[in-house]
Amino acid sequence: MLSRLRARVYFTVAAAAALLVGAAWLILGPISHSLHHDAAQLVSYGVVVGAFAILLGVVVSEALIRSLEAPVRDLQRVVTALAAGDQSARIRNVEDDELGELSRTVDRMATQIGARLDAMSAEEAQLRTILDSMVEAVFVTDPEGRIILTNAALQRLAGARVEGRTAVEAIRSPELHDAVALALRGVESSVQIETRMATESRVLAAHISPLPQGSGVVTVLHDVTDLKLADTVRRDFVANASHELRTPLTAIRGFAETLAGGVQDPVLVSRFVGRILEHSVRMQRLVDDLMQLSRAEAPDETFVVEPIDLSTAVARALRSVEAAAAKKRIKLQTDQAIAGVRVLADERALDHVLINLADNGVKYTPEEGSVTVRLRAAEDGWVYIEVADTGGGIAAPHLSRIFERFYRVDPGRSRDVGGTGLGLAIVKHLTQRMGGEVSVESSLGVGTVFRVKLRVARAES
Amino acid sequence: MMNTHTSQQYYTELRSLKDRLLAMGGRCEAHIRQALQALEHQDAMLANEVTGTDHQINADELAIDDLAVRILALRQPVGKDLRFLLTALKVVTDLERIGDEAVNIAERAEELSSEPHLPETWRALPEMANAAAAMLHDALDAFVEEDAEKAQSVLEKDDEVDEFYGQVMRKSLEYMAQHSARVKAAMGVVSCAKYIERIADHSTNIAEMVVYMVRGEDVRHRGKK
Ligand SMILES: Nc1ncnc2c1ncn2[C@@H]1O[C@H](COP(=O)(O)OP(=O)(O)O)[C@@H](O)[C@H]1O
Ligand SMILES: [Mg+2]
Repeated sequence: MLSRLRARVYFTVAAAAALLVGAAWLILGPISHSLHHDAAQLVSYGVVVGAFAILLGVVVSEALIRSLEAPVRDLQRVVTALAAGDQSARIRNVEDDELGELSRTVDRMATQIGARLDAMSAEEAQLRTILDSMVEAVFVTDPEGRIILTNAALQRLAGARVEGRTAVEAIRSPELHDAVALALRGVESSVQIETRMATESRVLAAHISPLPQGSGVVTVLHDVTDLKLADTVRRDFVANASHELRTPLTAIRGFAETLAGGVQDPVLVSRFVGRILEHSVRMQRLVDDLMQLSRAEAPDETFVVEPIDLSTAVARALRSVEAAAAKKRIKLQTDQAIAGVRVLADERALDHVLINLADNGVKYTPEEGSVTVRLRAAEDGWVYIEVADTGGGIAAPHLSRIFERFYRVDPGRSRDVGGTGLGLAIVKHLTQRMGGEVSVESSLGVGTVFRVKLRVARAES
Repeated sequence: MMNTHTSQQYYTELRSLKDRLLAMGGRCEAHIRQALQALEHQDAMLANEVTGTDHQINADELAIDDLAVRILALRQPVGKDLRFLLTALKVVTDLERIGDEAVNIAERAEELSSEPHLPETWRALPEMANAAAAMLHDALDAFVEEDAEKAQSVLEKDDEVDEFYGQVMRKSLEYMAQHSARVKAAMGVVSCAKYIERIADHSTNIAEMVVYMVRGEDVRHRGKK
């Protein structure tokens, strides 16, 4: 535009100069005849003046055009920068003319666009933060069912980027596939799906809703694997407990019915009554252990943790298994180091822990073996109370599971020796309630060591 | 040449075929998992559920088969798309068979549910089934991602499952020798191991098809350049 302007100005200047020289020649021509030499000199003066006028005209117009060129270039620079996304670009020198007005408008526009873009990116950042801070996994699809938006939880769940995939490519579930198809047709639904994700099986509660105007689908996935697991554990527990109770109950009922049917033989009668007694003792033991366990797990059950003299507690526990140990000629031993040590514990809970461990030691150790209670230093302020036996030991795969309720390495053997499968679960919970922890170490054919870690009481307290 | 509208529709059909195949694969995985749970918990009701819902897998097979054949007939695809459709037709049969094996496991689980407890030898089964299901999952992943290397790695895992099978077989023979009264129960466990081994075989087939599908495409691309 400026170059065209420049051409026009030059053309005008040249035309004006030509006109000027022409006019001079027309006027001065006739006069020069009468004035001879002087006139010729005058004409050449005129030519020089004309040439000078042209030069001046060009210089002045060039300066004028330049003064116009600078603001236009500036305008061009700013608009180009804005288009490229640089919102900080502004026009530097603003004159007070039409061009200046235009520049001011461009500046105002730039400021407005900048503000609007800032607001938009703030909104987007906010949305991203909200999405990413959600525990639930979220994905949004386009109308074709392709995933276009996800959050951090979904990436974690899927273990890979899933943008551009369909829902069923990301999460291999027929139920989800059907639900997304349904939502694409405008129907909202909820399904529970169990599916193998990146590394393991997960249970997900999915809610799938259509976006307005059929523009896609939004799905929220809530990982309920742990809830489901807790539920399974609870159900298994109830099933196990009922099973354990039913066996002795069935036996008792059988003997009682036979007796009620009128058995005369006194030998049989006394044998039946003996069995009834035996089974009711077993039921009693189971119910006691169940109560014990439920107390150990109840959050409102109070545990008073105070300094307890360890040697008295250990002596009490060993006394309670003395008879059983004597029957199998098992030696019960106590480490001298225990004398005088006081631990921070709930007295009743500590008793139960020690009795259960000593009882297991005696139960699962063959005749002539030994069960030893000893002390071992732990980190500052803590001690290990160890209950070690010389029994058959526990194979490695079972070690991590024996603290589960009703878990037994050999269920038949445990029942034969009067076990309920709850002892170690009780030990674990009680120890934890006293702020300690319990662990086990075992080698097959050598023996087993259970280790209860508790805080020591300060000597003066 | 197809106009853009038809080609858009064609593309949608191919994608829908792929999605349905994956959904069917997910259903197979779920059935394997449930059958194993039924076995582990000696839960006849859960076993029945697997047997009772197998018709869904059969329906999946028919629908996918129909769709694939219809696309083949109407669109007469060539090259990569043709290989994809042929793969789909093969994969769908393998998936259907996997569904049948899950039903077989469920049936044995139902029989075993009346036993007082499972013979010790069953303990290897959950891990074995998990390995087989992982093969299926990875084979389908390879299918989605058109990843020949991943498919190749599935082929290698087949030996692992065979190894499991040998182990269960040996242990079961020992067990039967010692517990003659429990031969029938122990045989149930051996059968389940066999079914799982076949699931792994079908997954291997799927992986092989994926290798064919992808490698074929590679060759074509190389030819062009
Ligand atoms: N000292 C031990 N030596 C060997 N096995 C043990 C010992 N203590 C516990 N166990 C194993 O752990 C299982 C769980 O123990 P516990 O919870 O006390 O139940 P139980 O009532 O069967 O004794 C036992 O059945 C037994 O198999
Ligand atoms: Mg015990």
